Amino acid sequence: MVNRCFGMIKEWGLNSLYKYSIYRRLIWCFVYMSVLPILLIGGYNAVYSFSKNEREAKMFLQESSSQIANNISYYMFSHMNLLEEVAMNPEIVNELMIYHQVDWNQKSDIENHIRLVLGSTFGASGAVNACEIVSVNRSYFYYPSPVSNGDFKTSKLLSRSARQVLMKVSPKEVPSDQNSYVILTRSIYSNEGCVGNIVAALDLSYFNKVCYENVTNLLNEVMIIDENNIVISASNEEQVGSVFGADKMLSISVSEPISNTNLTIVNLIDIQTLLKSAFIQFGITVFTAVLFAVLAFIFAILFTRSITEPINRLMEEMKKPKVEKFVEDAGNDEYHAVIEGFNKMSSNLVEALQKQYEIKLQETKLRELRREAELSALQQQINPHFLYNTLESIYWNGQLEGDEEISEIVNALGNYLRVIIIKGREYITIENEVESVNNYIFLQNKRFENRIVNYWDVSISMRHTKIIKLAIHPIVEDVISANLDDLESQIDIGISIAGELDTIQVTMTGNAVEYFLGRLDKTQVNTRGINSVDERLRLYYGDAFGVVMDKESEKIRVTMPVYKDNGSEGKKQYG
Amino acid sequence: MGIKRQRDRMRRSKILIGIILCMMLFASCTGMESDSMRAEEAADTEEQPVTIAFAHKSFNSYFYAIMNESVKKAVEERGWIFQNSVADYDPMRQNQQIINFIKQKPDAIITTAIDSISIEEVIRRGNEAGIPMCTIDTNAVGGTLAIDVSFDNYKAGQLAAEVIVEQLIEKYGEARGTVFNAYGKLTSNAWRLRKEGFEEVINRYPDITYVPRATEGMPELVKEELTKAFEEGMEIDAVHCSSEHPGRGLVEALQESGHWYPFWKDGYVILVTIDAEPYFVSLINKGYVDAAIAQDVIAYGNITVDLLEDYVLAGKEIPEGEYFCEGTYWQTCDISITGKQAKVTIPPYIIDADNSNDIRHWSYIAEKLWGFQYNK
Repeated sequence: MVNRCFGMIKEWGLNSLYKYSIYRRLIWCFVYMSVLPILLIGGYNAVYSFSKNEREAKMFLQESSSQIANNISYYMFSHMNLLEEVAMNPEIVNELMIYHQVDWNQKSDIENHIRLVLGSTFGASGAVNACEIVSVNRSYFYYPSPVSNGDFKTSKLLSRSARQVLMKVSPKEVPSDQNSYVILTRSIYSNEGCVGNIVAALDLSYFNKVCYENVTNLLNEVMIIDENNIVISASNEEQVGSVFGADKMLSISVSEPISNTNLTIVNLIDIQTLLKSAFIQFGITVFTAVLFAVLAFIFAILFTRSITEPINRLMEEMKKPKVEKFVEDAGNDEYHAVIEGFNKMSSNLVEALQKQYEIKLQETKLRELRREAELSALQQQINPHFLYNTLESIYWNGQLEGDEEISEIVNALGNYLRVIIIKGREYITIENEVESVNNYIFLQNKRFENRIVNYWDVSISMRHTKIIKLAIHPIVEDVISANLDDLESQIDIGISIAGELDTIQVTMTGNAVEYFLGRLDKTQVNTRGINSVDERLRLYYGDAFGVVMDKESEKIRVTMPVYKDNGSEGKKQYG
Repeated sequence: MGIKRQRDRMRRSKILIGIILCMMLFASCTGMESDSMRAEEAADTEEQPVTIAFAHKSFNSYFYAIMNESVKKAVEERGWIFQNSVADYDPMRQNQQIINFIKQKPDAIITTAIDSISIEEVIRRGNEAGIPMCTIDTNAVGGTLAIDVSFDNYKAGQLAAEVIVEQLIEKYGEARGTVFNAYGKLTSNAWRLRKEGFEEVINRYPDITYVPRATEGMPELVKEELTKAFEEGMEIDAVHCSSEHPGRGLVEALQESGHWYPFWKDGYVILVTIDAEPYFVSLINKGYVDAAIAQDVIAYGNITVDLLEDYVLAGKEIPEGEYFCEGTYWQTCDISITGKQAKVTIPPYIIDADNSNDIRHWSYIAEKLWGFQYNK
């Protein structure tokens, strides 16, 4: 069942893939393989990083808050103790009671003493911005400046009842200074009752310093809030004076009440800060993924092209109706071997087609030549008997009249024509061909007063060897015709016929041949006969046979096969 | 050709591998960095703030408490650091405190000299240390003071006498009657000048009986001397004290001898003082005091720190001539230059029933804005 499902999925998947080209498949494969793992790992890292950071943040906030709360608690405790010390100082109590009753000298002494006490008590701290003692009789002692408005009826900082140090965060009751301070107040009692009040304004700078110094790596925010949730000090100064709450919902916060005070330390880390870390990590991952995607895309295109382009080129070449050129490839891979094979196959195919075409052409030409030859022969056969009979009559008349020369000429002409116009025979013996040439030379000598001297070098054994008809005669005719232009010179032409295996080699030499070859490039020389022989030999037997006019050795060579009477007339046996 | 192509391929492969390795390194490094999220703290390159030391003579009067506050506020308003000491009228202690300040190398030292002569040595030490030395209210007779802000005590004495003469003329139609002057220690330059200025005017009127009494600047002695005069049967038309701290003795003596009346009642004694502390300004409003010659103590701190900021610490020379003081009742003062010393003289002015509620008076600022209550 599972295998079946797997098989179906595989089949479906493969079928889906087959719809796309190899090029696209390979590109997507490269891109997915490069990008997806990075995205998955990056995403996992981001989530893991966030949860780890959250855990560590909570621990950090808890520890940090406890430490800050302890520090501030100790700080406040020590300053409250100082206030207690002053308030419980019997000399101060006594001086407040008697101040308004004594003379100016004593008043001066009391003022000095109280100022010294306040200075020695709070001066060393550096945290006390101002301190004052106000007696119920409205005597004022400042170190160095006032905190309250000095009036028990209207002041919110003065009290006649507090037997312990109270604290609140508020501005002084001095119009010129509206900064917030930690205001510590305590009533001063004698045995008879309240005699005054001591008020000290502590700078919030210590709180600010604590808040600021406990910010670690700009990750967390530290703030101190009072009982009304008013932020009295914060690492971020903009928060001071605002109500803590609503805008801090999306944060991890730890609150720790500060003992000895009505203050609470709030230590928080914005969720966004934690997310930022994860976002940065994910952002880097995405950036890397995009970078890899781009590179992968480029590499994919390159690699894919390296794979598919040779195939495409082969396909393009295959689509063409005929092979125009071979596929070029500079590679050295498997495709190169395939393309080389394709090119070789194409080359063979082209060659075969060419050969076939040439054979067809040759056959067509041969058919045409045969048709022409047959037609010519037919034309010539119209009255061969009439021609022979006429020549016979001339011969006998010459005999009767005793003119032997005419009889010889007519006899030679008749023999000459019999060879040329012979019907139905394409091949004749060498003896017949030699006779035909001799008759031609005889007739020409009659005409040109025996200027032509020829000699033969033919083996007796080759007398009956058959060769193609008129393979020597037209050449001799062209050579003699060219030489006859010079009426005074003697025309020598030697013809040797030699046989080797199945090949006949005819070589023509002599001054006639030399003269003929010498004139070839200079004047218009009739070579129709030579061309005809050469063409016929090549058509019949291929390019290995034909006529060669060798100017260097001053010879004309004719190469042809021996005719073997096997019904095919020797054609195409030498291809 | 083949070898060249092979080399090109190898080079391309190396570059490709290099790029991939760099990217992997980059990704791993940034990953680690984001995990730790470490942020480097900015380098602490802030300049050290200006520190001004103030060696005060005493806190033992409302006037001196406000003087200290005026310097303190002027310094702290600029974000500078204020350091102070109080010598409680002990010149040796004050000198030691100034020497201690010099060792701490503040940007400037301001002092109110207890003893104008003995302070000379420490002023010179400050000069040698290259620290601008300034005095307010009471100066030093030697050494180089970058700024010396003082009050025109002679003129203040003259103004007080002129007010009394005007009141006598109003009372009698001419300048006659008995004028009681409880002057302070003549070793104090300020009190001496006030007395001289006062007497310079009074002596112009031969019909005025002038009763000077040395009171050492102590309210008890002032009270005692005036009480004694009344007991001797003197018909005193006007009383004057060269400062209001001892001047409280005049008030008590008048009250206890049955002469404490507002100006619209018979038996009223003309009372004119110098300083114009809140208590006496309130008595002007109630009709018991005719006038107080104001010595703008708040201006001491403001002018000194202004000049330090604008000229001395900026390396500029203080210009001589009229100097405008924004927010003051008197508006302008004179600056005279002697050598490298700038002497600023704050002019006295009269506070009477016509202008006693002006918010530019230092008494108003000290009491109403700064919250300093006055111990009667």
